Amino acid sequence: MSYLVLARKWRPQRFEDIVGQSHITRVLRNAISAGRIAHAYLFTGVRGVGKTTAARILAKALNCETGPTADPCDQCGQCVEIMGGSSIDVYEIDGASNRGIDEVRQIIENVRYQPAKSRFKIYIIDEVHQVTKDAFNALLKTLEEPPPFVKFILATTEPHRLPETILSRCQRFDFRRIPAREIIQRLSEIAEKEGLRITEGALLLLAREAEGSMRDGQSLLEQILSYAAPSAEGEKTKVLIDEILLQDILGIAERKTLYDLSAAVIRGDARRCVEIVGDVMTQGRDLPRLSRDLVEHFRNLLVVRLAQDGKREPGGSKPQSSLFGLLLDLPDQEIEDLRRQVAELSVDTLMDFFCFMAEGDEGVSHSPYPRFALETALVRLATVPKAVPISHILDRLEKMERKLSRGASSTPPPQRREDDVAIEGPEREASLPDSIGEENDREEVWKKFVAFVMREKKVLGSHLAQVRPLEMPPGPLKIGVGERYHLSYLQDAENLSSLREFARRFFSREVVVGVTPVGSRKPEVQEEANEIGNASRPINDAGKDIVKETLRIFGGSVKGIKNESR
Amino acid sequence: MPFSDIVGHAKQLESLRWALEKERLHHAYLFLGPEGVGKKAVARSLAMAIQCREQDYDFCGGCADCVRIQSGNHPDVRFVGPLVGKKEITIQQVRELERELNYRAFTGRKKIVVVDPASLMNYPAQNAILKTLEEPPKNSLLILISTNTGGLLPTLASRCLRLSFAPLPPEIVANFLVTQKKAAPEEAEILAAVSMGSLGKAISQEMGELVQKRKVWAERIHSLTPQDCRGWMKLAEDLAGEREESLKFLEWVETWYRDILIYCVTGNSRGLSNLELEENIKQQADKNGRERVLFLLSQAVLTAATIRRNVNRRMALENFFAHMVGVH
Amino acid sequence: MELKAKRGDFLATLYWTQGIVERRNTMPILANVLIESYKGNIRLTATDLEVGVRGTVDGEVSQEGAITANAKKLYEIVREAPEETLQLKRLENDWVEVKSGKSVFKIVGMDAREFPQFPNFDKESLSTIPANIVREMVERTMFSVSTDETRHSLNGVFIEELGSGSVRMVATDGHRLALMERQIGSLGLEKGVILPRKGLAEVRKLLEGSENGLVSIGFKENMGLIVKDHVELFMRLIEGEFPDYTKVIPNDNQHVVKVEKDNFLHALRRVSILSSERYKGIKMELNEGRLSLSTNNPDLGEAVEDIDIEYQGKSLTVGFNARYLLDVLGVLEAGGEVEISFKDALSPSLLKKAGDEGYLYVIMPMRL
Repeated sequence: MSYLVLARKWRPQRFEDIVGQSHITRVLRNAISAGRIAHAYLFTGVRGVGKTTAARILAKALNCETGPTADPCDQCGQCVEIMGGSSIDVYEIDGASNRGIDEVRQIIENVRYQPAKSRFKIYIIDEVHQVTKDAFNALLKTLEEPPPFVKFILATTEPHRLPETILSRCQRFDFRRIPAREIIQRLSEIAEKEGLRITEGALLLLAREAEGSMRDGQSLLEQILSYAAPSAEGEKTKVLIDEILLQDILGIAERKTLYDLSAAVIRGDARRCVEIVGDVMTQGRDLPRLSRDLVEHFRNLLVVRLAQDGKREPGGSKPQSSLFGLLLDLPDQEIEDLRRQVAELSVDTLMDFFCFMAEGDEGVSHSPYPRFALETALVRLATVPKAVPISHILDRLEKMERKLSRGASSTPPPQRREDDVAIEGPEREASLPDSIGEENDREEVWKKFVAFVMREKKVLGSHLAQVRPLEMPPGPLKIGVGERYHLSYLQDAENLSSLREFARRFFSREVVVGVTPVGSRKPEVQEEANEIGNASRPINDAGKDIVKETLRIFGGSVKGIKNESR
Repeated sequence: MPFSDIVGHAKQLESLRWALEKERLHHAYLFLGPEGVGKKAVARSLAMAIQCREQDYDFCGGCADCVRIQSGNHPDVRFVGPLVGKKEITIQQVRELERELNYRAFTGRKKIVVVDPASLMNYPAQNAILKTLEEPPKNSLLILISTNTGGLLPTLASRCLRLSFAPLPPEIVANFLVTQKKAAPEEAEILAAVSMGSLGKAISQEMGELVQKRKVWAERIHSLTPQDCRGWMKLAEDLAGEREESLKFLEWVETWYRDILIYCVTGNSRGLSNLELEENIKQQADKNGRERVLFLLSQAVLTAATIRRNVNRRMALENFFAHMVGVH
Repeated sequence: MELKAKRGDFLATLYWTQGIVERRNTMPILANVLIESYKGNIRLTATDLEVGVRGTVDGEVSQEGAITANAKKLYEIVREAPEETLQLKRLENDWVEVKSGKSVFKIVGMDAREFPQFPNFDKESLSTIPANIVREMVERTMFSVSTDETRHSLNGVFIEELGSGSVRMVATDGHRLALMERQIGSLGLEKGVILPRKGLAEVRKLLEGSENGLVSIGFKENMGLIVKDHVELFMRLIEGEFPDYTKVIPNDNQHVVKVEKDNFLHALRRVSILSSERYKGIKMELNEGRLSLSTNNPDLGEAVEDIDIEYQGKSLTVGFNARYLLDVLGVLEAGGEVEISFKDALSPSLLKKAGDEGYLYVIMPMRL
């Protein structure tokens, strides 16, 4: 007897053995017992949740020699042949290989004949979404009014691809993703019977990996089994599989890696990101996998942050609980960790992280160099300027107003604070600088800041004098730079860190500093930038600064360059 | 040439050998890992170990069965890839292999099908192979090979036992080049870096050529200036000649900018893939800065994508170089 | 390898390989024919991996060895060869030289070791059977094999031994079933196996028109062999379980009619002229003393024909696919009577050749 893989060996043979779909199996059982059997069923759901299995059990139930019965005997010729896939009257057709009109006509022709030896002639059409439109149309009439001895069971992972006319002719059952705890229970039963020693924690991880698909779970268990290598049939494995070992077997990076990476991203520490990716690589972990996990991780961070917002809403415990529902199977400790990481971040920034990561992951899964794509994605994330929650901005703006004691004219109206709980962060934040008073204030503060830096470090100050702030503390200091020359200067790690230091001293708090390229503001500025950019190339850095400084003091632009050496 | 001669992948081999000895081989494997690290070699070795009559649970490499497997003429070992001149593996090919699996093994052992690269199965083909992947006829073994799961249906991957292959450490690749291919240690080091842990790539002739080419490319890029628009337009014209050449160039540009980015971020040259261009990379890193490199890198990816969509190559490349020299 | 053979013999054997040589080009070597010369024996082999043919040719072997060469080209060369004597020689780098008279061909070959190797069957393990019985068994079952490739265990004829030298062959496509049983002695089959349609088609070709003579048959785990004269035909068996067919055969069909076979066949042909192209549906109406065949096709018209029978039972109307009836009547020898038994309009009917207990045909009724 050749080896049967777990998914086949443990394929449920009775309705009650199908895990996590009791809402379907109950209805099916009742229908069979009551003799109210539809002539066409549609089973939908993601991979590995029991669609084909249920279809086969239904076929047995209908054709069992003791039936029709909700409890097929599994002993009679009918049951045995259906289980082995060799029944003469149960047609298991895969919609992908038989998608054309000719194949469907064949079916239509065949339903005219009585079953050879069974009560019903049963057509199980898997991957039915693959059938072509014309073929579906040809099938419609048969599907609506098949001969009394014919039953159709259609199964698909992609019901949205089916025409409405088909959907409306079938009794539809949507198979759910299987809850983690039910997967755990089933897998632990199988592990027990296969002699695999495995911890609760490892099973939990396994169930999470399975993403609600029993077959995925079983395939993973199989993978573990082939590593744990039980010495003989019926014997226990020597190794105890725990979480650590499991991560190693499955090539999953530790959860800690995710937190290390997101922390580095939040700190803007691109270098650390690259180092971590390198480490993960050397450990032989699956990078595309890590990338996918990161998408989920950043999504979790975002959800936790949104849930926090919800909490602040007056009487808003509801959004919080519903949002936390989205975090599915995470243990409390992890949710706490997530919370800590997002404490200082705005929804906007987290949104950016999530979007960039999702985008980056797309690249990783298709790239010939997943490592490069992941590195790039993370460096990009670590370079995203961080927006700060709107409530913080308003809080701090108020404080600053007082500190700068520049009269009450521009104090933001207090009722605005209600808005800060709204989730639609982007619009809110964007609307903030619209007020002219604030805009003027900002200009003033910026000028003072530039003057301050000018005193401390002239070159840096002169660069700052040429750029504009997009956002000002109490949030992050976000500087928009239109010109490559300033951009590269300000983005230099060293300059950036002194800028951060000056900002810290000037605003008396830790300030996140971001430098982003923006489009050109005025044509002549752009021109100037280009010319300086071009002209300065042969000149050394000090020379560049002299030209810059001259331009700043006297106004004007560079018209041409004469090389002294010539 | 037994299993022990395979370079790297000890853990993967161990698990396969165990399954082989215990007769617990899964009927469908999915080998995942970067190109050229030896996935196909492992698949072929597994096939030989199954069919070889000289060795138990291993293979000799010299008997009739082993020789036929190596030359692709074994009646029970079929390698499926896109047909000559085609870009995809089609549903017809899937039906064909299914038909063959329905016969009992020619040799009386296992029928083995290796689909490489599995991600080239088009959508209908992937759907069509699902049933066979889940419940193949007796004594079948399917091995799907892919660099990633990106191009595969989740339900397809879920039916297979996954085996991930990591890139080989550069030392192993370099060592192999020195001991087996009589390469000079320096050259070996560079080739190992270029190939990013892919032995297959490192020993390919193409790689040697690529090292030469990228030297030229880097020099030409280096000499571009915004004023000299004729210079970069000429470069665009030269590269646009052949689609494959343009794409190869852009693929390299991606690795080059990645190196520059890494240098920007880490300030050292550890892990660079364009090891021989270290100086050039340093200069570029100093000149451009991180955000600009990120920008140019995304432009390179974008340009490659547009060229794959058969847009005018010269225009796409000109546009890219304009970004590169800072005209845009 | 070096050999000399008669052109005619060589050509006749080569002819067998032509229909089998792989056209799909999945494995390059399969386009070739294997030429082996050992101990004065010259053998030619071709295969598409599903079926294999091996023929022996008389000739002189001056040097033992083996080589493969393109089967189509070799056939054409031999066919057109100017002289009656043919010389073949393996050259360096797996080239093959073919000489006949003054014409010399050098063709590219491939290493013989790359050619798939068929298992060796012991002469003693083969059973010898009259060729015409085998031919009849194949012909009378094969037409019922399913053409639906997704039901692979039905894509062949099931063959099993019933003990005491009785061998049974069964084929079904789910709508009809043909079963034939003969006393031919043991074949050494412990368990039934499924013979592929493609292999059986070759067997039919091999046995065409052979009323006399004997064939040898043997089985291995994965392959079947049939030998006639100098030609050996290998066929790979189909993997999988043949469904339990015994339940398909009705045993309580109490309404029995006997009709003269040829009359019935011709009437069917006439009536089915007006049946639809696809379904070929005809109605059989059973009344006392009369069997009526009729079709009614709204697009074309209608046809009725009555056949006088001796029938006393109750009236009954059943729909059939005329093609399924024509198929079986077509493979039965001319003359004699067939016996058809019914239960009701929804149950399978049974057709037998009067006087032949070893053959039966089940046909599922059809909704018209």
